[in-house]
Amino acid sequence: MFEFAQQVFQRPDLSFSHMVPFIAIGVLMVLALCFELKPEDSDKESNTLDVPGRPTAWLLSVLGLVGLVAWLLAGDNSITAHTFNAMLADDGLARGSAVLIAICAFLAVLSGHDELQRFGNQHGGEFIALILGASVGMILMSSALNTIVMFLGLELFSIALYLLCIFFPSQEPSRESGMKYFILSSAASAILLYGLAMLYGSTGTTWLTDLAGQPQGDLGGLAIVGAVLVLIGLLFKLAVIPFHFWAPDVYEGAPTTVTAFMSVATKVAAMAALWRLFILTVPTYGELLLPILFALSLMSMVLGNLLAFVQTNVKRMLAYSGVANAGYLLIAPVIGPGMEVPLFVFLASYLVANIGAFLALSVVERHIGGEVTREDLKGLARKKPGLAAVFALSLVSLAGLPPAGGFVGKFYLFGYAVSAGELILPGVGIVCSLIGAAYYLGTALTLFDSGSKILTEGTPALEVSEKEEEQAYTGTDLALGLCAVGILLLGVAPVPFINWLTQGFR
Amino acid sequence: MNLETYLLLPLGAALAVFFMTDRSARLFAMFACAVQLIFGCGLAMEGLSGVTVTTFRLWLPMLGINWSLGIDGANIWLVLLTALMTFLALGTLSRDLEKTALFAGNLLLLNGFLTGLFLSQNLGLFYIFFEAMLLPALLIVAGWSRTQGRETAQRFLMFTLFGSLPMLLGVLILAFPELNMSGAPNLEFEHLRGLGVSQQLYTSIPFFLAFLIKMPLVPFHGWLPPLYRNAPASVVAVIAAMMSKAGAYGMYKVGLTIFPQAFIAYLPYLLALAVISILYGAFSALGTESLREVLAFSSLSHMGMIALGIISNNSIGVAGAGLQMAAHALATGGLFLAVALLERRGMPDELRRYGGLARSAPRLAVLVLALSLAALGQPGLGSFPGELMILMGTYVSFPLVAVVAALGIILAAAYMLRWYQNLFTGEEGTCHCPRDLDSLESGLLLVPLVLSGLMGIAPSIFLQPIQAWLTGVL
Repeated sequence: MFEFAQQVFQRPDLSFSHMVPFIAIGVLMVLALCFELKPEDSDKESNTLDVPGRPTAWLLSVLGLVGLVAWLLAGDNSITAHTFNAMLADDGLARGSAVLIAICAFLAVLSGHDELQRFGNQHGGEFIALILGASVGMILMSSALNTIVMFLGLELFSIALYLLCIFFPSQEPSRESGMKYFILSSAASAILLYGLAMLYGSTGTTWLTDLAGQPQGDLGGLAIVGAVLVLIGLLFKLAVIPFHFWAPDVYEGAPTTVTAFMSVATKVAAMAALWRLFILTVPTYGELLLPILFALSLMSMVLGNLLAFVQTNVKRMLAYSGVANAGYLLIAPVIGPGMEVPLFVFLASYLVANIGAFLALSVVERHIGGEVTREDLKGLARKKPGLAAVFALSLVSLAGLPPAGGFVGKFYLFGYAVSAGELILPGVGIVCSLIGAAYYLGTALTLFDSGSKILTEGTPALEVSEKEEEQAYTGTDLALGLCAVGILLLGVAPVPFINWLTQGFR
Repeated sequence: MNLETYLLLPLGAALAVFFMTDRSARLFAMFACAVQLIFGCGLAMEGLSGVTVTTFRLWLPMLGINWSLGIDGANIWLVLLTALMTFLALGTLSRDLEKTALFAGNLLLLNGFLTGLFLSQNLGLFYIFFEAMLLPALLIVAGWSRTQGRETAQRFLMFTLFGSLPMLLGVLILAFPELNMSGAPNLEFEHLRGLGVSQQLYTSIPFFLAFLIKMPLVPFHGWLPPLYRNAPASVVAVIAAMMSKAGAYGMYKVGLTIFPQAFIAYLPYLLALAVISILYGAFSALGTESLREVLAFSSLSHMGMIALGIISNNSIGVAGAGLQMAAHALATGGLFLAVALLERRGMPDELRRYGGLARSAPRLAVLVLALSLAALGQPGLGSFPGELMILMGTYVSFPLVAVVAALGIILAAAYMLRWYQNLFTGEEGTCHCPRDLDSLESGLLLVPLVLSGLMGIAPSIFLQPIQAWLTGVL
């Protein structure tokens, strides 16, 4: 009896040292919720913003995330281990994703404070907790060694994101986009889960290690269909054409801080899961799906950039640019092993640039009090030179011009693709960068336009900003400054980061 | 003082200038340029005395991009002229220019990136500076143009990127040659010499395209007239003098070192473009009614002449092109500085509103006349030896082409003198010059003039390092 129990309830292999990201973010999440609790009798002052404990929660999360990122970056990245009965991996891929996702969460929390203030929202702790919960899910997904855990991570961050999308329900588009995201994303999750079930059905295992050990010479049709379905689910999260339809609407409707967070962090998680499943575990599937990835990468780059080019709304433009960047990202799995470092350098440069652009946009939004078109940005540099400079730098980085980080990312990604003998995708990518440069830099130039409009008529942006001049957005300003530093650092001195990554993918 | 510090000086100064007040910014920027110029002269003297001035530092070894800088015969004059022209351009800035600090900072950035471009001995670094220098130029054009700033900047941007982004693919192909995963990528110019002929033929196309657009030659000149017409004249002085040379320098340095065979293969097309540019530029300059467009099209015509020298496949012609790059920078730069001084006085752009300025502004008239003569190739002034050598070299290789190209020089005399007459002689125009140049302003124009004169009288001083470099390359 005892022996049987011992067999069933094996003492799980829990080496906590390999679970630091989960523990750290999980503890912060719980703390954030705890600090939100307040005594009943404080209801009478509920319309003030000074919820006791909120600044503490905010500060704790920010510092905790900084500490986590610093700990990961300072640590030895060459370890490859697993924990939780081999459910979770602790390797270069997991740590690289964890660093990027934690940075996204850090920037979102840092600037989210101001977004909350803008809407007079009192649930700051919940906001922070949801961002952290989503991050845990994403890191879970990127380090999962079992398809069930992978799905668990996916659902964890998806549900947190549904809530974050409608966090300020007073906004009509916010509710609509939240609903849209909920329905479409649930459908995508279902497809992915169905694919995982088929994989299980044909192979009899949910463990990636066992999947890898399967004889791969004669793949059943069921396994292939399953793999395609899983791929579709992941591509949906990556917002690759033709699974991108949700992205512009959801990005537009969601609070801009949330958009900034989800646009990058989701891509990191989905890309890591895709990499782990199709490149590391079952390369045979990856090779079978290669034509699909190739075609979708091409389509996303071309159509994403063209669609972004025709947008007048800046947020939608950035959303379609996210679709285009997903296309660039897919170049890495098409080439396969050896592209990990370029992929992560590209992701990192995309992270700082994209979040920088979205956060800068969120500041403009707060001043205008609504949607921002390209014309609204005219002459911003005169009124707010610092903001305009960071915004422009982010756009330059997205366009992939030196001396910004985007250049190093693109050079690395395209260069290693060329070195693997692939010329079509980098070639098309470079042509598409030309379209990209047109709208990114066109928008950046608008910021510095000395056009007569501001002198004569005065755009709403500038009128409102005078009223709100006294309102300081310290958190967002800080986040923007850090993004600018990150962009320049990746552009000028990326070698330490590259070395850290190389260590993990050796 | 090594080359790295020399390069970081203007870039660092630019960052400092961004945070200064408008008054101190201009003076500090000029001071930085002056320091840069002095140190540059020191480095150039070292280089002339036979010491090889180079710096090498690993930067992005996994991409083949390293801090590899060096002064050689191809870049020595352009490096010095960049600092000089920026200094002079800063000098012409009007006192009541809005946001002078930002303007001066961007001009310094442009200076630094151009210096880096000329100094770099690594193709990847060259590419980085080639792209990066676009940004400060665009900001100035978008922010300080008289009219249509954004449109002009966007046009300039799209034209340039149309060439330079394909060039990125070329750089990648050179950095990561297929089937060579084992070897580390290497983009040093020295390493890239001696490519196979077929590889030269197909990888050179994007490079040539980028350089032809930057120079520009017809039919890639669409960005040039609006930019030169609308942008602030002081920045146009730097763009016309130095940035257009970035394209020519690319042809010269990258083309001659890495793609010598491609020059021979594409010779008919390149020759045709060069000759068409010479004639098209000259006739357009004769026909236009805009003060600055005359200079813009004359620049186009002269860039055609420089291109002709580079592709002449003849050591005299190529050396002449090297000399002419410096001479043209002085002459065109000087003329645009004069335009900047006119702009400072609120003078218009339409030629028909001018006339008889020589009476109210005699100093300006004399200096502009001398600079015009320098531009059109008057013997004794800078452009003469360069153009003569280009034509001689071309004549040896392709006599008929040289005859047609020589028409360009005759036409140059026609349009420059027409331009001068229209401005300074004849009936009084509808616009009046409020005051003549003061002595400081005259000094600004005198500097390029004197140097141009020196180049005309003693070209051998300037030719010696160029020829020394060429013997190593050709």
